[in-house]
Amino acid sequence: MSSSALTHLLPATPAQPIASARLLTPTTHPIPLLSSPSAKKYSYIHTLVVVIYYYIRASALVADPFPMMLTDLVVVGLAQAVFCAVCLPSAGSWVNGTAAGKIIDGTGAKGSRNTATKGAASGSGSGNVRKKLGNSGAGKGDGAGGSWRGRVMPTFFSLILTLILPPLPLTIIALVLGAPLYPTSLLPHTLLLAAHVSLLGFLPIFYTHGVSSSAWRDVAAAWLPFDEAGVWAGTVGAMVGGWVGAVPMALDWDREWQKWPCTVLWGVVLGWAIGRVVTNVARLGVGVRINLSEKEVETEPDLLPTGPMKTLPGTTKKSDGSHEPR
Amino acid sequence: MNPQAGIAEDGQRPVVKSTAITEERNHRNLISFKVTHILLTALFLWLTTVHVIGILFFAKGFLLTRLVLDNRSECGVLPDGELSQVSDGCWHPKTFDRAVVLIIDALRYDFTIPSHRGLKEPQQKYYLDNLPLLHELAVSRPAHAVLLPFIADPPTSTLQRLKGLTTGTLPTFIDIGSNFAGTAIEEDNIVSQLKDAGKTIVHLGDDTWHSLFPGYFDPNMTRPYDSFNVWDLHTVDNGVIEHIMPLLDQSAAQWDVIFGHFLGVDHAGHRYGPDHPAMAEKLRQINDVLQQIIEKIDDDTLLVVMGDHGMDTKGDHGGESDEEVEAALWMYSKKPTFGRTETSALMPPATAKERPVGQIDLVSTLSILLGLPIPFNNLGKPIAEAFTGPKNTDWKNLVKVEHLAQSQIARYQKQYSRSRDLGLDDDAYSGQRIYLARSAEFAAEGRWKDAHYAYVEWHKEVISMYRRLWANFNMGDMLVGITISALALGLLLVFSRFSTADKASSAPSLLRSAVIGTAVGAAIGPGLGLVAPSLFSVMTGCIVSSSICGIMAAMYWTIRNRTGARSYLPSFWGWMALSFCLTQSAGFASNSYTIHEDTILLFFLVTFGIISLISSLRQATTTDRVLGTYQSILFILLTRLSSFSRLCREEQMPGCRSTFYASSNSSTSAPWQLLIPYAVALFLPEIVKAFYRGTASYAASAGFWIGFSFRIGLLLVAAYWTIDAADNGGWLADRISATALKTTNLTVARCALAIALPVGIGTFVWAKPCINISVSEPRPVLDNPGAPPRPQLTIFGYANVYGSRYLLMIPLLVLTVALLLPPMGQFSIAICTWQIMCLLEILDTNALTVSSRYKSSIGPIVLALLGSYHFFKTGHQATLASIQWNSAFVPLRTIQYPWSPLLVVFNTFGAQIICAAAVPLTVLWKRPTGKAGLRGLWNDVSGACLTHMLYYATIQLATTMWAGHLRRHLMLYRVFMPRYLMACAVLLIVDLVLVVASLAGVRAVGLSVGEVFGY
Repeated sequence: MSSSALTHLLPATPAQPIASARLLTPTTHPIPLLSSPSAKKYSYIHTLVVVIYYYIRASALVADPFPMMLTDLVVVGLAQAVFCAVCLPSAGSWVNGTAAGKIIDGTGAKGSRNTATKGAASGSGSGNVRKKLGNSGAGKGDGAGGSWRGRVMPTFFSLILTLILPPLPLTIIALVLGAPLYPTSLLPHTLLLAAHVSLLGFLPIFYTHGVSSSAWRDVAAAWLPFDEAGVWAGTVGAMVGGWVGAVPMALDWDREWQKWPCTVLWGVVLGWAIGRVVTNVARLGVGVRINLSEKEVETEPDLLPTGPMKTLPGTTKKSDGSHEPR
Repeated sequence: MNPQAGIAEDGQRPVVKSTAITEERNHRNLISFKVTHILLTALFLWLTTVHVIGILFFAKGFLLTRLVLDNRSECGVLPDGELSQVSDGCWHPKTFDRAVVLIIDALRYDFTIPSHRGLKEPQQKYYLDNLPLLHELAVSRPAHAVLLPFIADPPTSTLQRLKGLTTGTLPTFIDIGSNFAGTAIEEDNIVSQLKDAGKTIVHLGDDTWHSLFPGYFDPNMTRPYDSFNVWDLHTVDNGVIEHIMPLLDQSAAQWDVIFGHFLGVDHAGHRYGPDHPAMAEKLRQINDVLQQIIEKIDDDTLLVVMGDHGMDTKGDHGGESDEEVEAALWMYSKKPTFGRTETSALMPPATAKERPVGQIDLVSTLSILLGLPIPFNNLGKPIAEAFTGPKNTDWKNLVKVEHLAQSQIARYQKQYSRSRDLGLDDDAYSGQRIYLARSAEFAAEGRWKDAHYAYVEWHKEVISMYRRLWANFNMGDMLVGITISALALGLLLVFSRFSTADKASSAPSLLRSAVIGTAVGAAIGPGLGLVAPSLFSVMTGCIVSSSICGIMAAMYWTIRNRTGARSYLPSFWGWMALSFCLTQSAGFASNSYTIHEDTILLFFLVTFGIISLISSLRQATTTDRVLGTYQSILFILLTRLSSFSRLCREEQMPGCRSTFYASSNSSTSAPWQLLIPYAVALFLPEIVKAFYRGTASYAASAGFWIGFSFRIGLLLVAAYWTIDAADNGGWLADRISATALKTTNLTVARCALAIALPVGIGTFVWAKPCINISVSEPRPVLDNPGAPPRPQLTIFGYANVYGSRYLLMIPLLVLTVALLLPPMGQFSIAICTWQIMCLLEILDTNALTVSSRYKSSIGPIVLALLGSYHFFKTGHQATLASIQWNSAFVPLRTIQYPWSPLLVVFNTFGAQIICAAAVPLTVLWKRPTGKAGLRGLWNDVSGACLTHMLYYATIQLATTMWAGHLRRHLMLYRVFMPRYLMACAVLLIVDLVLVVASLAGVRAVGLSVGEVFGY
């Protein structure tokens, strides 16, 4: 920002870009559920099991949060990993987005799976194999029918990434929202809470999107489309649920369970489950993206919102349609 | 968007080339701009008036009143109607001829108790162990001295307490407002009884007594002193001491009763907090004075020493926390007089929770001891220790005295229920009757001790009944008030959010509708008085109906004239703003969410920051993305950073650590906090400058005002608080006298104010737009070689002409508020300023500024949240005790109307004032300048201002409704009522700031920018 501004002959009122032009275009596609019948069934069961597990552990959590959350981390991590392996296509085995101008022709189903396995760990920005949209059906089919070995490695790598990368930003978010800094003995609790959120909300994203920078840009901008697998709705639900879960803490009921971070954790789990039920079970809003632009005044009909956040209809249909044949 | 678009015109600017026609159009636009300003001001003032009416009606029904009876007790007639047969006194033989009543203002009970008794672990505190005399004598000579906890009935303001102490009545809330201008007590009281008995009464000290009892005191011996100079710890006390000693030395006393009122302890508490060397010094001084006085008084003189209320941990009072109501009472006489009802009661109570007596009990006790009739309205019972005799417990005498008090109270009850239907059924009295019958029965049998205890139970019943009774609300008025507020809120919502009409051009017709409605309402109003005479008089009916009809007419007009919008569903941001308002409003139903409001606001503000961060990441242009992300993160971090400035209210304990002052027992700043004002002076102008530099707008007056004047002003503020700290800490005590320091300080403060107000306002009103125009050498035109080369004109700061011009107003407000706030408050207000500017950049980069295309509500609402948040971060709470009265004395030596209240308002609501004044910036910040001129400006500005008002109006209505709904709640006076009062005050203040600062500021900016770029 230097001080020399020599724009010549600006129009008297500079034309404001219309809303859609102000924004980037999200590139990610909705995550499909694998087409095997067991995948669908298991995804329902998984939601139920996780909620029931947290419910069973509730009293233990209240009694002593830290060790409980630590052991639960293992259980929930395993459950989520199994869910990913059973129900979701791993990164690279499906067309996770339209990378502008970077579409590489698929080199064959088998090859793509192998690269994808590495891609999940080493970054999929360029190494990942992308296919044209038209090919996605085939690509996905391969992922679904892939060997277990082909799913274990991505799961393992995404588990590691999930436990390393998001907890710190999530902890910071909790702290700025007012999580206790004093006494400092509560900081590990916050970190564990973040790890739980990370496992519930971000493990499937790592599994399905790898470390594709464009996908993660969309994640940071909360721009993923809601998907039939309930991944993104689970993430959003977990964040919103945690937000709402902070509410009962302030009440003066002097209950043991009001202590940090019990209610927030339950809020996270409940929100996650609700999000999953809405998109995964009820199939509501699949393909829709969260719209963050301000409404435009309607007196100018030529500038109607063109709905950049609304789902890209073609994309939605594709992902929907692709699993129907099987 | 290009952050610093300059515009270059080849040859000439459009204004210059304008012909006579554009000249004329320009003139027309100018006139219409000014007229619209006046119309909008009228509209806002009308809304303010409606708010005032709604608030007043609710307050009329909600703030409690008690009927004052004019009846008086007579000396010769006993309360049961028989003639008194007592020769030595009125109703009962007197014990003393004279009395010296000393009030040590704010003498908390634990000040008088040795720390090893009151506390489990011994503590070193300045307020402990410095007034040992009372306890020592009560222990060593129990027949001569008695020390008891003395519980005040809230509100614990001195004037209210003096009323209670002299009349023996329970206070009602309505009186609290009269603390600043006391009015004479009309009802029967001990001072008038003394006067009627021909006694000579002397008063020394706090002049509040004279407003309560004008003409009662002996003019020759009485010495009143100004009571509101909180900074002055010694004048009143030294005056009392100086004049009381000669009176006590008189060989033939010319006085009968002396009322001495010391203010030093109270002022030390207000100024420094209890845990300060000044408090220790004050208490030791009182100890010495009492020592001298007990040596001087004679056998027939009773000495009473008491606190009229306590003080909270910071030394303030006014509310009803335990620390505020727990005062001390000490009675002493040279002849053995006092007894104890139980052997376990030989030692004075270790804490104020044991064996407390009420402050209303003093009147009956003193009256009987001095041989006077008990004042008619008294509800207190005689203090047992004064009537049981020094040796063996004389139960009979005690019961006799109690019987007198009982029949006096019974007489009052009869009279009161005759004057006003109490609306109580018989059950309410059954408990009283049982105890009364039992007491009489025991007395007849001679079982005096049992009679006494039955009497005590009876008295408890009576008091609790009256406490309930005087919490009797007028539901009619409350509902009317709520209706008016709710209708006004509805109009505000529809007009500001749903109306698609241009607010500026529709203002005249809207106002016309409102005026017609008001006139019609005024015409039919008196009819209401006839229809429902129990609810309305002619006057109130007229007011109610005119405001309701006015709103309805305006509402009708608004709804009819909106062009049908396709969807009323808000955007994501609209939902967010709505949910912030609604959840907070709903939260006020719970005392927890009211108590922890600051944390909730932090939560909301950070949530906004996170969402704006997410939204910023979606922006297409790199500058928008980077700038938006950076400012969002900054906004979040600043919000969290300022949360470290905290002043906890009692209900937040434990789990809250006050950081606002040096310690939680103090109301002075820690020495390290003095670095804050200097840091603010160093960095804040630079930060503001950086926001100007972003669009190359640091030009014209901005340089002088922000770079120089603002900085000098902030340095003066820093100097002021340094000198103040030196004065408080006595750092220069041996070199410079306190008066010299105070004079220097006044001068410094006034200089800072002079920079803020005359210089600041002058700069703001007359400044040119913050642009810099440079003319470069002629250059050949490339694409048209035939054309002659023309000089090229560059306008720096073109991208933010309106915003940079309007932002000049903020420093002057910041300066004023910062001067009045202690260092930690300046930290918070500096962050507030920074956050406002971050918010503006966030709004701009995310297309959330209010413009003709986007009518976003989030900017004005977040500003309101920000203002409310920093209200708490500047050391305030929604309690009466947290008002920083000291700020009235920053530039003034004594109380001066209207300046002192205004200064306190600026100190208390500074954050809300600054944020309300910043609301037009959500419209003006980087608003494109162009051929459209000022068209649409008023529409956007009034929309933003009304949206801002909408937040506070929602909160006001919510707190009002909850306070009304929870009127029997245990926490009403501690939590809900103060919050409701605060919401009302904030709404009115914001209404006025929007008119005085925002609308007027936009006018000044519009004229100044229009002069250059066309109107």
